[in-house]
Amino acid sequence: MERILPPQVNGEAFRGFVAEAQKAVGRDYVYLDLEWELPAYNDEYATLPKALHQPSAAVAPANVAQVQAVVRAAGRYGIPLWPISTGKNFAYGGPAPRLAGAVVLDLKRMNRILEVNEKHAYAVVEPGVSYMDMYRHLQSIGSKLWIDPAAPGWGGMLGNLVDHGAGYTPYGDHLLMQCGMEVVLADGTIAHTAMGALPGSRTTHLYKYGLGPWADGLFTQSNFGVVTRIGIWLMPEPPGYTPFMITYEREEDLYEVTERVRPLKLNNIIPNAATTVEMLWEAAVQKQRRHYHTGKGPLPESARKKLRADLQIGVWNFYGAVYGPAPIMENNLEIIRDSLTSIPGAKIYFDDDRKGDIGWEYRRQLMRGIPNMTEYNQMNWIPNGGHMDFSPISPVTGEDAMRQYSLIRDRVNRAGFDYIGEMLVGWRDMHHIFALVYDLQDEAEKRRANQLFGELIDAAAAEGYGEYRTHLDFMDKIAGTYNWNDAAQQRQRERLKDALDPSGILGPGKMGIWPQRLRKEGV
Amino acid sequence: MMTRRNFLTGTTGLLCGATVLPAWAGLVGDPRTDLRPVLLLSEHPDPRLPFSPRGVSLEHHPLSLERAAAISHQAEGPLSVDNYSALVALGTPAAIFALRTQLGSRWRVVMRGMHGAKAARLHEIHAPASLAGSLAGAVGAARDEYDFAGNLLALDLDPRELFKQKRISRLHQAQCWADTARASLLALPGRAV
Repeated sequence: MERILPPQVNGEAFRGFVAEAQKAVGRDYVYLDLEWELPAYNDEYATLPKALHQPSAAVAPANVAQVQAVVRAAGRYGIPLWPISTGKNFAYGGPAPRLAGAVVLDLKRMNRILEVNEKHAYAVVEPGVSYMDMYRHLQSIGSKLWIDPAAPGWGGMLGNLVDHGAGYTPYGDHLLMQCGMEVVLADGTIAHTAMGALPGSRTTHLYKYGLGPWADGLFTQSNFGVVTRIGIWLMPEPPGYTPFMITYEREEDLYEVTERVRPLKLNNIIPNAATTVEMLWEAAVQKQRRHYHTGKGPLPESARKKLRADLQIGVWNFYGAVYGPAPIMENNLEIIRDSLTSIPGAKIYFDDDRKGDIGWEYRRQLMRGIPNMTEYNQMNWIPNGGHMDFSPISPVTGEDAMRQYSLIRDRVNRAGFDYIGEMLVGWRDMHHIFALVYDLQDEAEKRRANQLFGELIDAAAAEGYGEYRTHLDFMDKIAGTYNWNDAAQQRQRERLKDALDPSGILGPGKMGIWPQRLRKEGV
Repeated sequence: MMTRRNFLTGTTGLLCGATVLPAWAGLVGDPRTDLRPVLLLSEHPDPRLPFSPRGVSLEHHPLSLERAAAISHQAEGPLSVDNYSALVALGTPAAIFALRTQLGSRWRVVMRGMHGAKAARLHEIHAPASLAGSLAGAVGAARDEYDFAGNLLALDLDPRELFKQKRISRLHQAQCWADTARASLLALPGRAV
């Protein structure tokens, strides 16, 4: 394996940067070995050659002063940096940089929980704190606060939030629950956002907006700064919690389920980020495909039928929960039952009904803020499994749910893959997550997966649907679909990029935003 | 659960200062100095190794996907390279992948095995050329993954030599170990270089 240097960077500049980075963080935390160290920063689930996202080095600072020193050194030598927190979202590229030759700025050594405030129900964390870390910490101090973990729970709280991740409790919209941020800008300056900009502020993590334009959003899914600390609101433990699952027998039930879920969500009868899950998602977390079908192509109906019987699941499976004092939960459950179980064939289940069911257990935990790894077992669905997630946003209507489902399922099945998907219902939208699972050792299958992904983006955009997040390979393409009025939004972002990071060193290509000197690399 | 009263009135303030996360305590051992301390991670709580490799002080801990993910990624964490001369892990492909991504740069994964993935009797070994070659016999003779682990644990490897070599993939036809795909991993401390 050859070292790939960043564009417009020669060996002398690279060595100069490395020497300064070593001085800043110590030699042990500058990774250069191509054979034994840098592969840890590859895109493990790559469908294209890994060299496309191969870093030239990785640097792991231990504190914000070291981040500043590294950023300043990068600016002096023109070295592009790719900041990561824990780098665990392999569906979107993991720790790998968008631009080959970029230096990974690995922040997972910064793993301090700086504050847990029980009274006001928030925490302040550095980038290396995972959901599991925080959960264990809250348990150890006897806290009565819940976190809202992503699935799987080894991801970083800060990284997930700034990448617009979602969870499954009433606090499932993670960015909505963010309050206060510390950012290292491209010139090495530290900035505190919103109320935190007031010296001695007593409300940094209590009021999101401060005075003037709210800038925090600019540092999410972006490359305008390196977020080194974040405030996250946590949910006070409610006096009661009742999760439930409703199974539906027919594919077309998705229409009616979605129509009925919308008013329940809008009126907060179901307060959490509820989920409508297709049967193969359920199956993949606990079974291996070959036990039901050994042939190529999508799983035949006979195998699907056997899976449903074995797992006691429906074609669609709705998970939600109610929280609060018992009388409130009982009232809300009555409304939910009336609405969602009157669809023919629907069956409702509670905790006592599904003891020992792996699929139920991990959902029950997630909706109660307990991180776990169960969902990651999807990678055992096929041997050598890897995945990329295609994630369009949908209105919460039956028509849109069915249209998106058909749009994806038909193309996926034609390409020889299984549809493994779920729809996560938020405040006014659904995050439709399709996990495209493929065999990492089958080069032809990986090529097909990559091609299919591009087709899905085009087909969704043609129907008016855009994705909320994506894999490295498709950042430019998806950014290119958000092109209303001659891509006015994109041009505005590029102007911001040029103003905030004139050397173009932070996260080149993140979500399709390139610095001026590399703009031709992108769209 | 909180009481209804607590829920309505709020809880008392509790503020904790900067907290460095505790290391995962379960894995720190006290290896005897005259033996090679080796760590085995596997799903089975009481692995039935076919033999106790000579010259090895074996420490075993259960491995699940949850535990693999919970292992600290810090150099000074539970899988400190100071405590062991080698690490062998057996598990599902997802669990072994998770473990591998958590080991950090102080461990060097010199062997990755995928067993029964493409076909029930097919074993793929990815390792430096000399190791991949020498493991052919071990794979062929093993009746199950614990047989194979016994062979891995018994290897007295020269890390400096291995670290110089290119890694290659070798496919071996051998016995079927399980009705599901399995994975294995052998890691050595990078301190040898």
